This record gives sequence, C-alpha cells and structure tokens, in this order.
Amino acid sequence: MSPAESGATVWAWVPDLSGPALAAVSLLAVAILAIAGLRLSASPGRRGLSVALRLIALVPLALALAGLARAHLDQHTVRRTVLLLVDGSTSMGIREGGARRIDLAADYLARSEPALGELSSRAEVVARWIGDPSRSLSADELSSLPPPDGLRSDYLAAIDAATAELHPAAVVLLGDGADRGPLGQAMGGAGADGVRASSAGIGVPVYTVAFGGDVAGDLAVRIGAVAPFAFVRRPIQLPVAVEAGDEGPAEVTLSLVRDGEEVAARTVTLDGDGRGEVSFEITPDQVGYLTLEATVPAPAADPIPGNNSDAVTLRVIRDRTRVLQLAGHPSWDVRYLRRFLKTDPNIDLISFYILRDAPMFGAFRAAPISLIEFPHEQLFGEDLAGFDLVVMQNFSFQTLPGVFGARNRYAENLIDFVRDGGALLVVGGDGSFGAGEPGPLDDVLPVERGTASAAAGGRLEPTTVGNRHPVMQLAGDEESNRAAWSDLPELGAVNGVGPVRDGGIVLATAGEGAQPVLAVRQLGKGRVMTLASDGSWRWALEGEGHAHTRLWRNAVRWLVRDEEDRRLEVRPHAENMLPGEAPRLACRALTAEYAGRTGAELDLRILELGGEEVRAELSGVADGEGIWIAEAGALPPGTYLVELTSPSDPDALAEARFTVRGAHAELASPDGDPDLLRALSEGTGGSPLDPGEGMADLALEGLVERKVSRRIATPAWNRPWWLLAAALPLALDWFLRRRWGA
Amino acid sequence: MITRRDTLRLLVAGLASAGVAPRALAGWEDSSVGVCLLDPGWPEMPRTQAFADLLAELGQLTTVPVDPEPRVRALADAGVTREPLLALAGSRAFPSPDEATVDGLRRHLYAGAFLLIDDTSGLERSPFAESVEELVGRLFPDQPMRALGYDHAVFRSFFLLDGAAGRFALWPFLEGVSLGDLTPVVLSRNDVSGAWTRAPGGGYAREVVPGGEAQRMRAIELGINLLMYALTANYKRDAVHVDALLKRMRDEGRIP
Repeated sequence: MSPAESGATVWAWVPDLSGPALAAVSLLAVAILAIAGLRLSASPGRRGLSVALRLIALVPLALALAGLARAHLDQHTVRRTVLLLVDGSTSMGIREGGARRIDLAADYLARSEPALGELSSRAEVVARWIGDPSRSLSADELSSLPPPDGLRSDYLAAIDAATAELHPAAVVLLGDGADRGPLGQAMGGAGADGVRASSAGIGVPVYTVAFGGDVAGDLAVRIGAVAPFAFVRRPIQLPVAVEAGDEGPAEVTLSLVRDGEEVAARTVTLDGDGRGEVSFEITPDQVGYLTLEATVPAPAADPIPGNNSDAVTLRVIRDRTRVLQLAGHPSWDVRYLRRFLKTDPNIDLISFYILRDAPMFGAFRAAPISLIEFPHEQLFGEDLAGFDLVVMQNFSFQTLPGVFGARNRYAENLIDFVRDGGALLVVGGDGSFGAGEPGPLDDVLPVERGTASAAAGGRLEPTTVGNRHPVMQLAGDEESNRAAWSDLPELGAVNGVGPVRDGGIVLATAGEGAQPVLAVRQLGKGRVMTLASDGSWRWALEGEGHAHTRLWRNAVRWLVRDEEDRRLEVRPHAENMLPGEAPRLACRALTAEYAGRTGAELDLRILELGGEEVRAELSGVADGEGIWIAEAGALPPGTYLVELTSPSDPDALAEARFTVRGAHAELASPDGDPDLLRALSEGTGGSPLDPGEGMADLALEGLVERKVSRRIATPAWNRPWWLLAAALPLALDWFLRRRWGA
Repeated sequence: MITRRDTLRLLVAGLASAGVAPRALAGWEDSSVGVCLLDPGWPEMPRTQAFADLLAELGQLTTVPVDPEPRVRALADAGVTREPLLALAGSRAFPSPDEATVDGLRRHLYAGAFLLIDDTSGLERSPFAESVEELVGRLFPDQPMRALGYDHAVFRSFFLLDGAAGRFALWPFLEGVSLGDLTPVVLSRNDVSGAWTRAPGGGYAREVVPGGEAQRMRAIELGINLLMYALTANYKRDAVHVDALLKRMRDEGRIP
C-alpha cells in the first residue's frame, strides 16, 4: 500500500463511562433536575420555564457524559492489494496444442502488461506461485515463469493462505483447473455447484483464467498404496492403476520390472472411462532393497511420456529365519548344530533326521515307535520355497536312493531354490557328499567332489580371503582372528573334496594337502556353503563353545544375507520420496562386536541405480553412538543407490536404495478443468476472464481507500464554555425562582 | 514315490543288517556313537558288556553308526571331557570326587554332554543312590533331580514308551536334572542296564522280574531311547513331530 497523507478535524465520541454507568448517571441527573426546587403551587407557565431551562442545561451535560469530543484525524489514501496467483503444479507442464500450459500462461501475462500496468497504478499487485513451496514471484519471474514442478495443486489452500496474509481486494488465478484438493473433490462430487459452495467462504472475489482442457491420447500408470517394507519370501500385492482417457485403447499391456529385469506382463482391460487396475503378486527373495517399476509402452503421440511408468522401492526385511535341517543320521555334530539353531531366537527350525532306513525286525517288529515317514514330497515338492536355509548335514540324495534317485526333481527343486535366493549349507560326514560318489547337487557346490570318502582331519586354517570373510570372524582384527582359529581342536576327519569350482571361494583348509574344507559360493541369487567335516561339534564339547556358536551364527547370517552382519549401516529416511524432498541418510559404524564406532570417518556416495554417475558425495564423522546423519540435496525423479564406506575399515561397505518418485498425482489425471475455475469465480463473486483478452476484461473498482492513520481527541469536558453552557440555564432558573419567591 | 523294488531293497538291507551293528566308515570313527563308563573309584566291575550289547542293538535298529566297545575312564580322568556320552552304573556307595572333578564334570554337562546313571542294586534306597544324590547335589545345587513326566522326549526319542522299565520294577519313572528344556542327567533306579546284557551262549545273562521278557523288551527299548535322547535331545518335541506323533498316538488309542 502507498499512503497519501492528509488531515481533518471532526466531532467524535470518546466515551469515558460504560453504557450502564452512563445510563444510571443520566437517570439520576434527570431526576434531580426535574424535581429539585419545583413547587406545585407555582403557575404552570413558571414551572414550564423552569423545566425548560433545566432541560437546556441537561443537553451539554448529557453530551459531555456520553463522551462527545473534538477529534483531529490524520488520514491517508491506500491502494488495496490485487493478488495474482499462478498455478505452478506439474500439470501446467502439459502441452496444449504444442505449447505447455505454463507457456500459455506466460504469454497471457505478456499480453496483459498494459492492463497490469494500469492496475498497478490503482492497486498493489502481488504475484504468488502455487508450488512446492508456494512463494512470491519476482517481476523477472513473472515475465518468464519458472518450470512447473509442484506436486499437488490445491487452489483453496493457496487462496486461503495468501488472503489471510495480504487481505487482497481481489484474486486473479491463472491455472488449468486440475485441482487435487477440496475443490477438485467437490467438482468430482457435486460438480460446479459443489465448487461454488466450497468457495463461497473465501470472502474475496476470484477472477480465473483457464489454460488447459482435456488431454487426448495420454496413457498414465500409477502404483497404488504399498507399504515401504516387505518380508523376505512373503508375497506382497502391488496395485497398479492405468488411465488412458475415454478415447484411449480398450486394453494395454502392463509390464512389471524388478530391479531392471522384466518379471511379469499383464493385459489390462480399461473401462468406459479409460481406467483399469491390476495387482501383481511379488515375493521378495532376499533381504535388502527391491525396486519395482510398472510401465506401459508410450503411444507414438503420447503428450506426457513421463507418466508411462511408475516405480517404488521397498526395503525387504526378514521376520525370522526359517531353517530346514536334514540329517542322514543322528550324530553329535547334528545334535550340536541343532542346539545352536534351536537357541537362536531369530530362527524357526524344522529338523528331520533319518533314524531308520530299514523295516523293523524280530522282537521289535510290533513295538510302537515314534518314527514318522520322511515327508519328502512335502519338503522338496511343496514347501521348499518357504524356507530360507536348507542344511544337509551328513545327508545326501543318495541317503535314500529309493526316494531320491539320481538327480531327480527334488534335487532340481533344491537347485532352483538356491538360484532363486535360498541358501544351502552342506555339512560333511560319512554319508555326506555322496560318500565319494557323484551326486545330483555336485554342480552347485563350491568345490569338486574328491575320490576319497574320508581323509585325515586337522586344524582348520583360514585362507587369506577367509580370514577376512564374515563367516570366519571369531575375533576382532585379522591377527587375533587367525590366532583364535589356531586355538580350536582339530577336526576328526574331513570329506575328500577336490579343487574349488568356478565361483567358489575357499575360506579354510585342513588336513594333508590343505583340502578346501570350508568354502562358499554364490549361485544365482542364493548362496551355498560347504563344511566338509562333521567335527565342529568337538569345539563346543571341549570348551570352545563360543567359537562353535560364532562360526554357525556367522554362517547362517551370511547365507541368508542377514544385514545385521554388517559393520556399516545406512538407511534413508524414506524408501520413496517426493520430488524436491531432500534425502536424509542415517549412517552407522559398528565395531566387530556391533557396538557404535565413535569418531569413525564415513564417506557416502549417491549414484543412479544401474548408472555410473555420482549424484552426491558427502563425508562425515560418527558421533558417540557411531551415528552420522548425512543430508543430501533434492534429486530428480529416479532410483538411487547409496554406498557408505569408511577409510578406517576399507573392507566394509553398506548399501541402501531409495526412489524419488515422479509427480504422478498431477500427471495421472492430466486433464484441465475450465469449468472448475468458472465455478470458483462464480462462487466468490468474481468472474472468469478470457485468456485471449490479456486481462483487459478485468474490471475492478474500489481499489483506493482513505484510512485514518492517527486521531487526537479533546473531550467536551475540557472546554470551559461547554460547562458554561450548562451552568447558565441553571443559574437563570435559580435567579428566576428567587425573584418569583419560589 | 517309493517303488516296490525300493521297498524290497530296503527290506533286504534291513534284514541284512540284522545282527550286525553298523559301524562308522573308515576314517569317521571319531563321529561314531560310543559310551564312556565312569569309574568313580570302587572295586565294582563296570557294566561294559551291558552297554556293548545296547550299542549293538542301537546300531541294528537305527541309522546311528556306533562304536561297539565302551570305554572306561576314572571319573577324575581329564579325558572324560572328550566324551559326549557318559554312563555311571553301580550298586555301592562311591567316594565323593574332589571339587575340581565336580567342576569339570559340571562344565562338561553344560557344554552338552549327557550322563546316564543306573542304580543296579535292586533296592529302593541304595548306598549308590545316596552317593549319586550327593554328587548331583554338588553338580547342580540349584536344580534338584525330579521325576520325568511321560511326555518327556526320552520316552519318545525312538520307541513310544509309557514308563521306566528295567531288570526290576521298583520305580515307575525316571529322574533327571533339567537345564532349560534339556536334561543332561538321567537316573534309572531299576537296573535298566541289567536287562540288556546278553549271555555268551545266547539269551540274556540276568533274569528280569517281575515282568519277564516283556519287561526286558521295554528295558531295552528304554535303553535305546536313552541313547537316542543323548543324541537328539528334544528333537521329537518339535511341533511338527508332536503333531505327527499325537496323530499316531490317537490312531493307536494311546491318547483320546
């Protein structure tokens, strides 16, 4: 506002007494003046004159009591505000006849310059951008509008916020009418009447200029609500909506891409409004992160190719590790491994031991026994996928040749189980590794089968790689870890195993010729580990129970990819972020005992998933809890890989993943809605403006106001002649009554 | 699917195995299941033959490879801590071991070893039992020995049993010390090992009273179960097995 100062002196009321007090005083005064000194014997004429004089005196007294004052006013002229709102939501980037809606709005503003200039002479024009966040638009920005990137246009909220702050005389709104807030909902419900009713309370006339209408030929995909995490091996539903407009195709082919690989395709039939929905069932196969992208091929003339796909990232966690332990026969090694598995609260264990492989005979033939039939079909044919880890301990498919045969479908199922993300642990013994004979699982093991069934054991010695491998960690640093292994009792015997296969890693050797007794291998998405001996139980029995527990706990966690095994951890504040949202990444450095590593230097990189480009690099130092919170800047839509490393622990690496989603709420229903804007104008007392007129049709009156900036009041009491005006009639009354002898 | 040929093969294998206990394959002797008899320092002959005969039965009835020759070690022998399956059988009182021996045996049992104690006296209250109670009191001062319920895994680890048999029928139950859901010490007061011993010329060496051969069979079955319990602990109490066993028990009318 720009005030123009001027002054004036006027009568004004400045009451000193409250209403009731003033009434009481007035009544008392009237009563006294009406009856004091009056005689009924006096002639009516004299009584009338006396009352008249008293009434005359009463007038200035009453006015003074009521607060009559002389006020000097300092006044100025005010130009009221006209609010210019520009819709900066993403849907304003949609092209209409070759030009984006925001470009049409910019062109309109350019053509409105004369009208705006004239308006500015009468009013204060303030321009605001409806975006994330909403903000003022400078004169430069008004002449060249910024790119529209707002996630959600809510006209009612934007108008309410601005009018509460600026108290404008009028609002001019430039937009496409694609409101995602209450007005849009009202339009979808009661139509234009609903919008008029919803906007009636705004209290300011809103003039609207519409840019945009129906978008033809667009195909949009949006993934529905899905929890940001999932449990490994537990199916989840991924709802996907497709929208093609009422003139779109009758059906489209929707593809689901999982971590960059197409895993499913479905034909979606669209209804009369061009909408369709489908749900994919996904079963995460390993702990970590999973990115799912639903996509449809973009038609040649698709005006918004950016909304043809949508992606989400899920964090996959494990509720409990489900272990199937199969033993060729009971043994001490089986018992001790089972004891460890049973005492780990995070493991659900199902064990099956082959207790007998021949019919009962003799006197025991009729004895009731507790043995049950080995449920081979249930385990290997039906329920295998429900487990995370299969332990074959002194067990092979040759154990029951009549059941399993050679490389039958059970073995194939087990191999598929591993390739799909399951884990297999093969522990040695006299019946393991096929007892020297070729077996159906040979190809998946990390080592070749040897010719000998057994060889002399010895102390297990970590290899160079093994001494650093998570499975082999018994003590803190490499030297003390190697020393811890050298303190363990010897293994009684080892299976004859040959050289390592491609992809296998030998972690420890034992016996003559340094046989590769402990080895691991990645197979497809799963992991395999072999310990070609049944002698680890001796560690537990002979005072090295801690080492026995550590080895098998390490092994289970590594096999099932349990992330608790990591010495570094990184977690984004959300797996799925909105555009413009700055990622915060909680980083943690741990010691070998999983305590926070205070003061650890940490380096963090953010890369595009599947790409080479580094989008952010940050460094920090862990606090007393080993924690550092890294804050990166906002990133454009896409899926990103986070890598956390520590210079002081060069082997440690933690990874995380997050997706910055596109503004699909805006683009999934891209049609503009001029009728909504028209109803908004009508509901507020404004009117829709013609986009072709350049604001020339905006007729606003009453934009200039005079306002009092200061008032100085002098009460009537303060003026002696005012009191004199009251006293003189009373004195004359008194004088006449004395003359008349009353 | 098991074919008729497979069944025949299994049957033949089972018949072929009768009377010949499977031993561990060459090179795997350390993994075979044997028994270490404890000698607490008395002039009583250890029940070596009884346990040898039981191991032979175990080897014939199950897939477990056995070491058929029980070893005898003094209770204070350091080598005891390498033995996962211990047995103490006798009828007389024995001297109280020193503190170091008791501490070592306690650590060994906590580490997973199993101790089977058999009172061979045929007495309801024997001097041997008093010595055992004193030893167990020192081993586990906070865990008293208690009777084991018939739902304990030891009664279903191989045979389904409903009582504690032996050469005598003095006590209808077994006793034991339980640590969590494991029972590393089990006591029989019915001379269960006395029923296992075979005579050199065939048959059995000792008479079983009062139930005769039927009682002997239950005693041998209990012996097998005790060894299988030492090897498998609470394996048979896993829910999946309990369900299957309960169904079978219902089918057999053992439970309603």
